[in-house]
Amino acid sequence: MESRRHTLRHDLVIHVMLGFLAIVTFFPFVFLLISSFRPTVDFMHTFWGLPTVPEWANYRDAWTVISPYMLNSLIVSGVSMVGVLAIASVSAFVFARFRFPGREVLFMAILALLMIPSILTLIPAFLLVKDLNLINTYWALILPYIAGGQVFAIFILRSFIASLPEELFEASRLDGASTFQMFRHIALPLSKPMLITVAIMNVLATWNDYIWPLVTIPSQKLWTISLGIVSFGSQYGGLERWGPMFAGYVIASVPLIVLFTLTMRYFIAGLTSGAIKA
Amino acid sequence: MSATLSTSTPSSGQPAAARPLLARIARYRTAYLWLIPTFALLLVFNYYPALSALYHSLFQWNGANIKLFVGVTHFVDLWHDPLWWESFTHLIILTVALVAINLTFPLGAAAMIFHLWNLRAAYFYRVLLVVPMVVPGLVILMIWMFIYSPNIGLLNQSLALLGLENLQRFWLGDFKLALYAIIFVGFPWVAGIGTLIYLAGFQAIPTELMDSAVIDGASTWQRFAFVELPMVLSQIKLVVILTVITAFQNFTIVLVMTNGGPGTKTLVPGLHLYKTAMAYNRMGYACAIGTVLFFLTLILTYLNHRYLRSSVEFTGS
Amino acid sequence: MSHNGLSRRRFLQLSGATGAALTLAACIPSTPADDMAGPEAEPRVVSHYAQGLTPRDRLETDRWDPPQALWALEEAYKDLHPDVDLEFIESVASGYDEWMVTQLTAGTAPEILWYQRGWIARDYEKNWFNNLDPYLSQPNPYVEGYDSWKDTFQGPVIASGTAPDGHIYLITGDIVGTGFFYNKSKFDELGLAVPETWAEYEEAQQAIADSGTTPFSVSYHLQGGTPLYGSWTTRVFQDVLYDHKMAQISGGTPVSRTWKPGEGLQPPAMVRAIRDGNYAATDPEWLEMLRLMKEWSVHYPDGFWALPTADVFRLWAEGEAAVAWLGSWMNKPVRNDPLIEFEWGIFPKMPTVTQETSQYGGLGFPAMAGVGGVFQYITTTVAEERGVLDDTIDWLQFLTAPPNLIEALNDHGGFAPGVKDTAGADPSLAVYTDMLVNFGAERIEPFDSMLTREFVDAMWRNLQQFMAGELSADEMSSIMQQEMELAAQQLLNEHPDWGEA
Repeated sequence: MESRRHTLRHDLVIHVMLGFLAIVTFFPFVFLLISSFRPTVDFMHTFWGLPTVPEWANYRDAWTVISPYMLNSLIVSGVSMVGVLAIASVSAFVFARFRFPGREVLFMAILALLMIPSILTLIPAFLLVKDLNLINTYWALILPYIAGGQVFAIFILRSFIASLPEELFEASRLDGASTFQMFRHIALPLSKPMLITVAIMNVLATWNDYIWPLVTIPSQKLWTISLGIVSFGSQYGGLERWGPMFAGYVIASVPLIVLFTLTMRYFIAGLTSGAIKA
Repeated sequence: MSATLSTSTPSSGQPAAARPLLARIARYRTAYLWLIPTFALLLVFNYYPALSALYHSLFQWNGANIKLFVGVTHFVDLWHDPLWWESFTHLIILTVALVAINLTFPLGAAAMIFHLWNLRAAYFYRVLLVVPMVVPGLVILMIWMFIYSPNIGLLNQSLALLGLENLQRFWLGDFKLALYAIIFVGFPWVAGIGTLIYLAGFQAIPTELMDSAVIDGASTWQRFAFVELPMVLSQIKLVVILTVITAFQNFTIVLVMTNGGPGTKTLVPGLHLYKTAMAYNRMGYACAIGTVLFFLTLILTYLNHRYLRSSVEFTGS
Repeated sequence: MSHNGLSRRRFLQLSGATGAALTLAACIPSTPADDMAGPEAEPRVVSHYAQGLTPRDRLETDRWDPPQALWALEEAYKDLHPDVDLEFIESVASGYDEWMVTQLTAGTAPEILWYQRGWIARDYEKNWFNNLDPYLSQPNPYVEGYDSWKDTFQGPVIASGTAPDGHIYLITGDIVGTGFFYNKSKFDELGLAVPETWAEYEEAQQAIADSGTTPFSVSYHLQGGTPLYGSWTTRVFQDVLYDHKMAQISGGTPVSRTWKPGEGLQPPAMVRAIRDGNYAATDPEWLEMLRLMKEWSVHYPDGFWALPTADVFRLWAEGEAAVAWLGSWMNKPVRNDPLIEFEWGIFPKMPTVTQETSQYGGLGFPAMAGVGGVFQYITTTVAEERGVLDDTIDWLQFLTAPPNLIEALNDHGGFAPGVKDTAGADPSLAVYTDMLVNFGAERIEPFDSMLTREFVDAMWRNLQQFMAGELSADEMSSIMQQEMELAAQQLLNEHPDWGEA
């Protein structure tokens, strides 16, 4: 009892400040939820406020339209994420733990890719994907997503793996471990929090991507969810289907929230595992 | 032979540089082998389009029937393009502001979460700060647009309710404030990868280090400044690089909220590039803008890399 | 040697994870969607991006039927041509520029694409879309009583798709209108009538302002606002103020405000006029336009240059503004809005600027309506490569046969038909057609398509600054004069033939 009170006294100021940050940060999310129940006509009159009548049909409509695209998005984002983690963790490990000739040059060559404005490469990349006959396939999304996503992933994972104490590797080397074993049994488990961060960031980016799927996936059957939601909009201001659009955004965010909730557990497990203190 | 596996401590044996290069390459062939998937994908999907864009910056090119070699004309034109310079000035302001923001708010939030004794609460806040990341950027921008709306916007209406009419502004229509209003979008800037990166950094600090600081009688602030902060330097470096890159590339926010206005007060190079390519179809010139942006980012990243020492080196010294 | 561990076997094992991901993806049908290709016996496919006319199912929350006429027309067409399949591409609500440019560049565009007349000058030499003159000069097999397909349209409507080379590349089939939607209840309450002259209008606006209501809801936000309202305001004002000077601008021939094709001052004529100093942003008429616009703007909402376009309607619908400038596409939304608590109407015409208001005044305004809204389609050169150009044209001819076109436009409800035979057209949209027929269209090419796209952007951002009070009229006029000369020169370099009338 005493210690709990003690904890609270220690944490109180932090609670006040974090509480403020959390409330303000949470506002868009709450707004999204409230708006998803507003009739479209409400939006025509004011952007804010509670629904005049809660419009449950927003969700039925949104589901009717976007559910076919949900699976496409799950496949594209899921496969891209697995691909990025697999390829990037290997390369990051190589960059972090080997001093091979050309290491810096190769790393900078990867890093430099982060700095290329994506709008600049839109047309050349599109022509390429077309020449590879990938238009209207999942590959038109997955392959560029893995190729592009790994850049950031390597960048962030490399610095994390590089920061792992050398003694861990030294000790395991003395135990006769192979390089692969070191990668598999030391680097990977210890990088878990970063791997999960990378995974989340990757899914977020691919899940909400709009322009690239828009130009590479003309066939509606293969559309991703962001394309499906934007179809509630209109080129003519005033003709948008606001209600289902906001409900669609909520539905689309459910898989992401599930992902967050599930991985947050591992995230913490990774952080508090004994290995880091060892 | 332990030299293969090392970053911070080059260990026993001859100095690496003394061996013949080819022999060293052969020795590390498996390391190169491990990098093949990465570079195979990059070559096809990243380097090729990027080099293509670089190459086309030397052409007067409209994406279709006109493609004339013009050499560096576009770069000379860019030097004399007043819109480029104005947008570039805005970019500097934006970058400085965003770096400052990302060095404070997410770091502060992560530090506070890290310092909570109540681990359950720490977990709770982390979820609270991270879940809003699922809200798509476009929705956030819409929200802010109608927060700032001069007439019936949430901000001006709230100020009126509080009797603070004299603080009302046209925000995105204010020729002095518009850029800062753009910067303010996303307040308090803690829902994002920055907070996560910092937090992971704090959590990775060896407990012995913290314990010894406590034994030495360091206060909370001293511990933060002299133990924790130096230990997350590599995270700070990372966040700075990411912020600079984002600032240089992201123009969706101004495209949606102001389209560069009022006048040209929020025009940024990315938007200039976008319009030049998509609306004016001056692809060659757009490629030149992109190329310059790329090299500027590269230089900034290099400087950051060079002058912000990472904690890896820190512990090594 | 520690790196012995890094063997090929390990590497393969390692790539197992990647392999698993790729195998997972491989289970998914990844060949191009099967409706895109097929054996010889399969029907020929014409895909059509119909923008706002793209048919779609009605949803529970829809307050009226969404556009579906193209499905019915498709069925009728299939009865006549079982060997042709139509495919409607789902509407692209944002990112259309990127979508269109990439698809046209790569040759993956649909056969029929929605397009805007203002883009023609920029693109017509890129071999992206077809010159339609050969088809337009032949009769439309689905229409009787006209010499040619072209003849079935209202002249200015079809002529608006003319490129600087004199050929028509764009099939335009509709009329887009704008109108001053006014709050009748408010006008009655204040004892105001719909004003006839600008002076009366000014008085009415003053009375409205005095009652604490914003007189006129409009936006000069650079995203949507200025390109819409700045464009309409300048095009109707210029026509009135430059009326006495039209012959001079055209290089001698008088330009009457009619409803006939090709009589307006097209881009080449404007380029010559700018080169010869017959039309300049430093003209007193131009400055007069700026003066009138600026004076009018005191009745606009506070900070109107930062007002999101959606708020133009909101202010009016909530009773905070007495008049809103809305487009004909708002026809259905306004009619079907249960939350509007007042009576409303549309000004039949814009109040006239008389000589009392301006020394250049006197002539009534042209229509606040123009050609080309949802029905502006190009046929892409891809259609030719795929061997379906004739089918593509045939479908468009079928679609523009007046009863079919009217069925499609009535069903959408936001645009009036641009064909001569308007039997059966939605009467609620007649106000826009009447405006065009009675008042005629503006004669000076609108800024949107007068010169280059760079010029349009410069025009709108400087106009916004001027309206917001950041630029004086003199500064604005001298800046725009420079931009005009620059753009005209650039166009003359690109099209030397424009130099001669």
